[in-house]
Amino acid sequence: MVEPAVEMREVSKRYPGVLALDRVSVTVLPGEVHVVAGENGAGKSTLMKLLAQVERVDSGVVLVGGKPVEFRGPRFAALVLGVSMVHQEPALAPHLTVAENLCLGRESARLGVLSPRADRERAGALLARVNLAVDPDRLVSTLPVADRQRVEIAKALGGAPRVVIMDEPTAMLTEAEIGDLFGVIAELKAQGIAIVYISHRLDEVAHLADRVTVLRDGRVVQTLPSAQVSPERLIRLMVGRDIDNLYRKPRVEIGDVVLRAEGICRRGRVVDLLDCTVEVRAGEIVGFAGLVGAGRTELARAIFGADIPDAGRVLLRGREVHISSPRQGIEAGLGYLTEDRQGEGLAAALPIDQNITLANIPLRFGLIDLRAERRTALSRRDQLGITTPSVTRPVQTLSGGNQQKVMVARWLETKGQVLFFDEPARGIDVGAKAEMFDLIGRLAGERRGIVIISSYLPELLTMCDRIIVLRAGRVAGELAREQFSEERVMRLATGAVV
Amino acid sequence: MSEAGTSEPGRRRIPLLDAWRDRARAAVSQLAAAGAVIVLFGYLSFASGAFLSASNLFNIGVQSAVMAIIAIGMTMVVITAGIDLSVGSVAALSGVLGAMMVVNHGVGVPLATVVGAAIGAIAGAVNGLLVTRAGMAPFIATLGMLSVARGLVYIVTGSVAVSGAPPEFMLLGQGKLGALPIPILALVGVALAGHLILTRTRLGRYAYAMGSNVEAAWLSGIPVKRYLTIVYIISGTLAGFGGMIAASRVDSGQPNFGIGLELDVIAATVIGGASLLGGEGKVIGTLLGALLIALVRNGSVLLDINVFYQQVIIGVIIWIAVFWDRHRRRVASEPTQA
Repeated sequence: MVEPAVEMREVSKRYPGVLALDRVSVTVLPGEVHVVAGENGAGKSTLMKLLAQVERVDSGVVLVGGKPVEFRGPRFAALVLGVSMVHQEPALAPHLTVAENLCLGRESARLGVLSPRADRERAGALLARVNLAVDPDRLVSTLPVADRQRVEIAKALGGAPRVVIMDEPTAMLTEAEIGDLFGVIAELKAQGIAIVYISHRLDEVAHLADRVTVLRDGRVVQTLPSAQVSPERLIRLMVGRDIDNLYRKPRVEIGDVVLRAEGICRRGRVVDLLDCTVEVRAGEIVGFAGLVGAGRTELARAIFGADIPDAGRVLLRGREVHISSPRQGIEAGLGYLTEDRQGEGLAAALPIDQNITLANIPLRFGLIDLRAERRTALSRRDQLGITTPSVTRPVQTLSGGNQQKVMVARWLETKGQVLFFDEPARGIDVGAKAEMFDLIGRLAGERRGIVIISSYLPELLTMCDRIIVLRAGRVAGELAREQFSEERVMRLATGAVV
Repeated sequence: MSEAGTSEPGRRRIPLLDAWRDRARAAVSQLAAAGAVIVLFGYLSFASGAFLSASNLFNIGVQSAVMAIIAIGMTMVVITAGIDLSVGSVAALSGVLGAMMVVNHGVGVPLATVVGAAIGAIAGAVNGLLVTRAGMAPFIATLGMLSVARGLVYIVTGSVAVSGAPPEFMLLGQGKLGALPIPILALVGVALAGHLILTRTRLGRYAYAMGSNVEAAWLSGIPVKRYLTIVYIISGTLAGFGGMIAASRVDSGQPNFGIGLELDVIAATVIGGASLLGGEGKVIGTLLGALLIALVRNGSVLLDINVFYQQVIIGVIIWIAVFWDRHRRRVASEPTQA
């Protein structure tokens, strides 16, 4: 029996008002990919925080290399114990170079003076280990997200780790980049490094894991060897019930063209849009697919009015509209649910009801009608199933899935005819995802036009009537339902010649 | 009725009670400030015989009225995650220009007051445009205005106080309506208007939204540039109005008025629970903060405490207020559903 790289024994953690972990025991073997799965709130992130010593254990023991360890903070965990964490959103300093980031905290220095050349060499070596060919002197802010993540992994390697924790690493990657990541993970395994991997993507989990530990409500439900792992089994363990169709396919009669954007061009920071033309019909769900940086979000923003196109027209129900701000976009009947809930969506200081009405505040004699506002919020809460005892609580007290519902409620209040959903299921758990897609299907049933932007192909393939594939700022192609296949989408997205 | 963190949809709950409870939770900063005021008030009543007299209490009110009026404008700016460092200079500018109009050009006092406020509005508009169109950080834009306005004051007055106004000039600052001094009435009016704006108008709601997350506000269709500019105009207008009241109180336009006033104003706002990071703040809180500062100053005089200790005490109060508020906020916003 191999000695575990890391073991957690009967570990518990309590936060004000909630027992996040209840006597959890997990072992991680060297060189294995150990996936921790579970719904949001199950305790996965908390468990990782305890392992990486970002937080203190309330009770129970953590053993590294067979020996119990005391809490001394994340730096201790990373440098001394060899437990490194790669976060969902790369935790790098954007204004510093790659080399500076990689050597942060352990810079080469002689008598207090930094030696950038030595740092650059070390950086080069680390980048080679993760197969990333970037100039170490580049500023991190100029790198795309997938590369930044690889830099973070390289940084973790710099501490000669025993265990690398990865929190939803594929959330922001496309299929090709995920393949690269899996390659890196295989390399790490070969070097005897254990990987603890958190993911909501169950088919990935089934593919990647050596063992899977499923958490539910802060407790370990079961630890399975890979042979016994299947997405259906995982779901059943995570939620304790069967969800046969993860996503419901909408069966809606598709009407006339509601939105037509022609020849949209825009020079942007990340990508230049060139001559993009898309159409959305009433009752239709259109997917925007493509690699990261292909311009999906940029196109949506350019149509909605968050960015102003350099050229092109937007027609709603055949009439041309001139949109140069989100306000005009909303007045024209468009809505845009951003991919970054926290950063661009929610006003954290405001309560739930005020967040819901933000885009369309009810007025009476010129003043805000507070009672109508509360009524609206309560009715949306019931309609969308937002679990909260009251709508006057701060919106941050809600879980990710519920916050997403608040965003949807906000856009429903604008009575938008065409709604863009940018990564609607990111960062929410399986149960909430199903509800979200069910909701989107219902909205389509109300004769709205829906656009879903997603980097997760299975979502698009099950939900959409048509998929528009973008590549490098242009429309690479369009697939109707009968033509749907992952390979076709990827071919269009990457431009690979068959 | 069970309340503790239930996640049932709560169809049987009474929304009104929930709303009241959440509102109480959100008002904790103001309740704490009120507590401090009550404690200090009580202490001073015992410690000094002269404290509880009507004349002393009115004195407190009148002397702090100008600062409080300006602080209400500052509250709005702070709620948008901005700051207005220019209020002291703008108040002085309005005061001297208003006085000059009355003294040198025979303009009637009411009109001069309006013009004084308008001068403040113009300064506020410039601040607002610098922030929204030139993309300047509010700190920098208003810091520049602080300097520019003060410079204009000295240029225009030649560093000499503007005096010789007819007796009507003192009406605004020293007059009474019945038993109530006009500055206090003005403060009440401004406070009510401010409260109404912040709680019941789109302007107020947008201010909170922009302060909380300006990107989210903009993507939700809020005309951010327009409303931010309006907020700075309001701050400037109230600074101008306050400056006129102050000039009226001393019956002259003083070029040195308001130096350092912005710090007291910001302190009052922050003690009252407004966050410099935006999204939080209430008029009642600012009033309590201004009152607390006024009590400290008044108490120091009555108890014969060295004037410089006032600065230290106020500074320490600011530290305590902000520290406690941060701590409470961090605990309260811990997600109840992870």
